[in-house]
Amino acid sequence: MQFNEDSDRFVPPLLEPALARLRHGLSEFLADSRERFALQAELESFAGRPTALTRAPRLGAAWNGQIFLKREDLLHSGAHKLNNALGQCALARFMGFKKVLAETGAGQHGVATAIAGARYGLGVTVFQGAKDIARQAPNVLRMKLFGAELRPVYEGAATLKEAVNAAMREWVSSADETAYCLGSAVGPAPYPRMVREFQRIIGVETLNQLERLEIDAPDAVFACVGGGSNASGFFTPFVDMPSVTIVGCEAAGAASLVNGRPGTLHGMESLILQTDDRQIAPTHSISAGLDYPAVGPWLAQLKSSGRLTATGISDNEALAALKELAEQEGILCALESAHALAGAKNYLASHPGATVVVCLSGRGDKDLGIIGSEL
Amino acid sequence: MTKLGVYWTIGDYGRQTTIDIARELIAGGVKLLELGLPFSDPLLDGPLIQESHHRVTASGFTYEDAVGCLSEICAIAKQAHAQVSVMTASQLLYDPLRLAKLPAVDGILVTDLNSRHPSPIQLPSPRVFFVSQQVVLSEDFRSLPNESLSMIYLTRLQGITGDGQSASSETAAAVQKLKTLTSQALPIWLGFGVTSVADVKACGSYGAAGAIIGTAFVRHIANAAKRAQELGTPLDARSAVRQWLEPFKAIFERA
Repeated sequence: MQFNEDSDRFVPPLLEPALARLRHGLSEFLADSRERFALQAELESFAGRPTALTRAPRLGAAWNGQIFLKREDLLHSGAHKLNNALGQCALARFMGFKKVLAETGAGQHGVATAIAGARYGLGVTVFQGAKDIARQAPNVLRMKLFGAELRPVYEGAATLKEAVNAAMREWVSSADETAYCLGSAVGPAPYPRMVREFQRIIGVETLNQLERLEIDAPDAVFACVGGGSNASGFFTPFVDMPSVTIVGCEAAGAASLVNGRPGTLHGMESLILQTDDRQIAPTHSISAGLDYPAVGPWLAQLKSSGRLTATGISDNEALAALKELAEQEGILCALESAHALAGAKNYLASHPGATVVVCLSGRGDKDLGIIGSEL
Repeated sequence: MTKLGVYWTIGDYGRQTTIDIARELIAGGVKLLELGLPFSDPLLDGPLIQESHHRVTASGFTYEDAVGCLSEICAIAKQAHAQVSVMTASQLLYDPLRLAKLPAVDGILVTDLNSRHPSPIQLPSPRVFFVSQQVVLSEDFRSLPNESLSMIYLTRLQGITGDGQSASSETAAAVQKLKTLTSQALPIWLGFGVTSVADVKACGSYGAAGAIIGTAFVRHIANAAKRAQELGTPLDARSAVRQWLEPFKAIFERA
């Protein structure tokens, strides 16, 4: 089965004009060296790039390997989502939009879009499932402080999938005057490739930082996967390095790469968690950012071609890895990122002495309430 | 005369209600039944039709149930020379084995198929060409996909299904442009934001063969069901349909 991140075959006709405008705008934006330079400058002087690549010697000793952490948790806003939000909001401004829509699960993309909107003078409306609003209160407050309007979504399970549904519906009605800043590498073209392009900086920096440490290639790289934004950007430069094992770490209760079957959702053809009756399946994760029943087509294709290994991580494995990282290295990562850590721990159990890089996609302050009640 | 089409989600308020509704709509002069396959995530629908999908999926009504219901309605419609088309998300027909189970219908409308491309799904019945007014009026829209088409469903408005949306003055231009692009005698139907007799008449004045009402009808039946529940009586769907059709009789009688 082939999946194509550039496909727009399964797109509601009502979105075709908006997507065509976006493709055109993106192409002009990427070809404009002043815009590219300005975005790069913003990523450095405002967002705080490059982020560190931190060696984790005590955790490495405990888990029997050499562990490096790509510290997206240190990025302004506390997560990798800002790379993409700054890119898409710069694009929105370039295309003449004054308003931006976004969906969010854990709230990280909502916060990132609210920040980017404030920075660029754009009005931001964020759709978030009511369940996620309840479990991610700190991010809800942050979005409001940055001036975003929050729209709760009560449909279905009231998590990320329903937030995407609601944001897309709003966009159908308002696409002439509103840009849709999609947070993950999902949806119809050009979103999956665009998000990957804006997040590619994670992987590119990592490779450069490894090179300075005289490490040609790690044995394996790990990232958590919900829709797949940090994973797509982080994995991109490693795909053409055959010696590097690429591992996507999903929530066991929302593991589209592991358990998904081909299908369509949100304008894309990819691996989808679905019932025998082809309804979209309910999902569960302790981590709101991974609680999504599909994955972007680029990662689905990597899995389908055998280049990517996918693994499902339980809530307890993620919590245990988060706690060990905190105790051993003094770093509090997000629950989402803890899934990648747990994947690395499992890998090192069967590959002792290996060198691994884990993308620490975000910091865990937002999860303190959940962590406190679970540990 | 402008024909009237009505949308209903298959299985809403049960199989028998769907059959009763179909019978009564056909008897009342409706020429097109547009039947939605229930889906967990209807992307283009407003709250009322979303709720109807969720009622059906939550009730355990399966694809097999929907197909059985559809077959029965097709037989009823055939006798009355009314048309039946299926409206669905691509996800529900992505599997060839499921496609093979669909009865022959007059058309299949897949809500998330790009109107610029031939259908990537090998549909067992002709495709309803679903297209937006904005796409039709764009300069580079110059042809329809080269495949078997039953009709054109033109969205009258840029938005999701539901009420309260303003009409566009460009509809007539879009209808006229489509007519110049179709060598076949493809009927053009208008939908989205059509709620009343006046809307249906307006669609006729734009040059459309017919107009499709969804949300307003779903709301009427949902209200009837709510009233029945409050009174502790069963839903009399046939009576509710007759009541809803009453204002449209003027259109049918003029024909």
